[in-house]
Amino acid sequence: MNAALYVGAIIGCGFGAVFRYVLGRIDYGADFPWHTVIANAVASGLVGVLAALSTAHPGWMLVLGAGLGGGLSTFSSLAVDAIELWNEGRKRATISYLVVTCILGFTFAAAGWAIATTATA
Amino acid sequence: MPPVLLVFLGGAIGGGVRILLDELIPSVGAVPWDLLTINVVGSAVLGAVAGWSIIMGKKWWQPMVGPGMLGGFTTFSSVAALTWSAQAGIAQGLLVLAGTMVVAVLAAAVGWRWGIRRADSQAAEL
Repeated sequence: MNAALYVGAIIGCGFGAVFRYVLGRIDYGADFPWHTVIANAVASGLVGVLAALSTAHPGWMLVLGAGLGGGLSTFSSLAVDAIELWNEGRKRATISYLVVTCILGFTFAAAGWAIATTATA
Repeated sequence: MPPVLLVFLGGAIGGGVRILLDELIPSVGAVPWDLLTINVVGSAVLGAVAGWSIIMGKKWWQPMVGPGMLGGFTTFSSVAALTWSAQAGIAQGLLVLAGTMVVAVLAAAVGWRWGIRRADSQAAEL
């Protein structure tokens, strides 16, 4: 791994965070944090795709996975979104939020891996 | 500075620290302890910032620290994709994801309470 890949990964993190932030601004004031669910699901799909390509393109996982995908996805907003929903007294929405995020993230990662594996076979 | 630029800078800094720690801390088995620790610590700190802001109000640096640094520092995608990226089994992948979620949410709750207490005592001093 050379230095350029690390620089690329760091810039990727910046862009990922900006995409996530803009998504949140579009959805500003929504009563369910779909923007975080979408950012996390899309980033998981991306990392799934990259996992399938990691043998052929080892640098991609660093720049686009740990970088762009890592910046786009977030665990801290996920946790704080859950606390905010809970504090509003919306206990069922809190549980749904965590379960939906978990299922969609896992499913998107699986789908990304399956699509990339099929496409490169 | 426009908020989008602050988010970009924060994201690059937070993500850079995560990538550095990821290189320094070796993974043992299929459980990424480095990512787990990063996500729990990042969630606790963002919880503290969010709780503190309830009392103290929003500040100009929040886009840089919240969605930027802490959002870039923590990551969901690498944990969600463990089954495929680290050849963890499906059950183990789901267990690590759900387990990280539970611990991160509890950490954010602890951070939140701490942030509110801290802001309360700061407000009392003013």
